[in-house]
Amino acid sequence: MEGDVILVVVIATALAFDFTNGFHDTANVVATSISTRALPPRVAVGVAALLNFAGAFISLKVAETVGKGFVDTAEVTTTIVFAGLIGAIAWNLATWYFGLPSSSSHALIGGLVGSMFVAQGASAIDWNGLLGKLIVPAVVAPLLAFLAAGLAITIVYRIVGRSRPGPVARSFRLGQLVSGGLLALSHGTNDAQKTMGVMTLALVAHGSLKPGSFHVPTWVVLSAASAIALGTFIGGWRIIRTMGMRIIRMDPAQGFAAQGTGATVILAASAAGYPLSTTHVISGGIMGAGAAKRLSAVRWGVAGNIAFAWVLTLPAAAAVGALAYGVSVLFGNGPLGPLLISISLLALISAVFARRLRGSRAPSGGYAAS
Amino acid sequence: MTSEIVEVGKLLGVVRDALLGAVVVSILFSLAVVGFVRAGERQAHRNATTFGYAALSVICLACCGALVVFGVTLLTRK
Repeated sequence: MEGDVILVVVIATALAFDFTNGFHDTANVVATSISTRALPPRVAVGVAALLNFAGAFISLKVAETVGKGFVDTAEVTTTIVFAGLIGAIAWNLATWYFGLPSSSSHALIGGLVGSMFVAQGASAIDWNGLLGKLIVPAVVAPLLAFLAAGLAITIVYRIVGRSRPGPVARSFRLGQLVSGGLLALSHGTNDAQKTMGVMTLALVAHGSLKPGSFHVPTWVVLSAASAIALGTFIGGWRIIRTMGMRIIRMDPAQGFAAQGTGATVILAASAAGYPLSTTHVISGGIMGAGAAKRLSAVRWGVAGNIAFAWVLTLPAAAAVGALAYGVSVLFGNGPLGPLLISISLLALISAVFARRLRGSRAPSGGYAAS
Repeated sequence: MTSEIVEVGKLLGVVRDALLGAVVVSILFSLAVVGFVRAGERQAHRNATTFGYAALSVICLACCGALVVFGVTLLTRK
């Protein structure tokens, strides 16, 4: 009975994380479309939410990597998964508060590794998996997106350079409908699966699923897809500003290149089972598209702040995950600890949201209105 | 040792696919845009060149669409 209560709390927390993931990463998907005025903000966010939902059903390879690629599934308990999720949610909210586009994926895995480390020791963590499947791809992905977007925009300018700018810009805005859609689809494919992996891990820890065969139940897929889509729809306007305007001011061709290459990198990585950070990829793409035109077009100070948040993500989420586990077990192995932490976090989130949302309203017209 | 931890072949495959996809789609879509814009400029005097630009635009757009569908289909099979 106690195990069932903890499982319910963990599933609810995982869905809450998935919601914050969609909320936090809306910017990755829609910022370029909004800043180049390819789509009005509300339409961009609505379409992204729908495509995020659809993308979650495409593949389960990343869910498998997250569920069994970094920690020993035989040693996992529901309380460990819960504490890891708390670490990830706390980091997501902290970076949202400061408007920094950090990685929800790395926060999730960092939180899980931190709580696992405190609970079961270093031997329960697959360090090779962490390095090979997370850290190295995390370094390669934004560089790849930077290079691919730089290459793409150079080719685009070379081909369309002599054409009239007005019709070219209009055509690339239309192209952004497809590239932005593809990016939203790839985001759903890669990011929703991370929550599915963690929820499945919790079901294995609870004993509802056998540890040997990592099968993601349909209800897990459906609920994770719904949570990320809802989070995307509600959206994080604060990060949209950073992604869409503060790194570089984009023209529609640059927006198309950044989105198109971002989607290509994420889809290629999802097919290989790498849980990439969509934030890292699209930020790399935006910087690449800007730097290829003119190095000084990129606001390197903003880019530096983003990079600093990226580096901090894994250790910070791990530390909060470890702390959450420590606090949780202070109240014994029952559901009391997780319940108290959840209530405290909910109260904190409500207070932060109430304070922040008062000063940050969604732009109603074109992006320039904000 | 490092190559055992990091699946170099798999990672290089991702790099190759991503670069190839980005370059090919950029070329195709840019040609589609050029074809569309030039065909629009020559609307007043419709001749073989106008038709050629329009055809270039349609073919490149179709190829772009086919590539996107191919990529997503490939992913669903994994």
